[in-house]
Amino acid sequence: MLLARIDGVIVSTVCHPSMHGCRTVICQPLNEHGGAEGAPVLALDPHGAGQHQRVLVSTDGAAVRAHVGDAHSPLRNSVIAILDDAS
Amino acid sequence: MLLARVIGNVVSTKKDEAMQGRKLLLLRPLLVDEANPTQFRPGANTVVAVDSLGAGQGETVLFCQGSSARQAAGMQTLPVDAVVVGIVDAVDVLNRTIYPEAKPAKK
Repeated sequence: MLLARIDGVIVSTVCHPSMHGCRTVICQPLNEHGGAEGAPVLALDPHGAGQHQRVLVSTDGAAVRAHVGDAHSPLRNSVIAILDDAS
Repeated sequence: MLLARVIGNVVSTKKDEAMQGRKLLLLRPLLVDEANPTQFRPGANTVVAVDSLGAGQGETVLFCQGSSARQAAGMQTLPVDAVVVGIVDAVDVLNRTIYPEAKPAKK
């Protein structure tokens, strides 16, 4: 999993049917000091994380496919937790 | 599987229900230094992993990434892709113990 900061939100009308009704966010991975580390990733956000909040992003595609209820969903990343604090 | 140093804790209240009660650690992967194989060099990325063994800050651990991480005991229903599967006692490379680091002799 990656520690990341929410940098933006994606809105798409024409998308894969499994993504309908799902919030998608842009997540910038962070290092232990809170600095940006690596390229941003897109993730499904079932928890409703807000801009600049720190989150945990999992790349477990099986969990996302189970969440959207579509065994053929192309989604892979998802926000699985919103952080209280990271040291 | 990779070796990593525990560099911090991650605390979250609002999270996936299956994750309740799970301890999260911030890890820095440790790679064997190509220039000098008798020492580690830190990896470029930080990783958050679920820990069911009770590893602490500063310890060296063994962790699994990808879908195989869910094969660890009790992780089948969790949406995780990194799990701590061992706490490392010692690492030998080229007949040299590179972990734990030898303590300087007492004077």
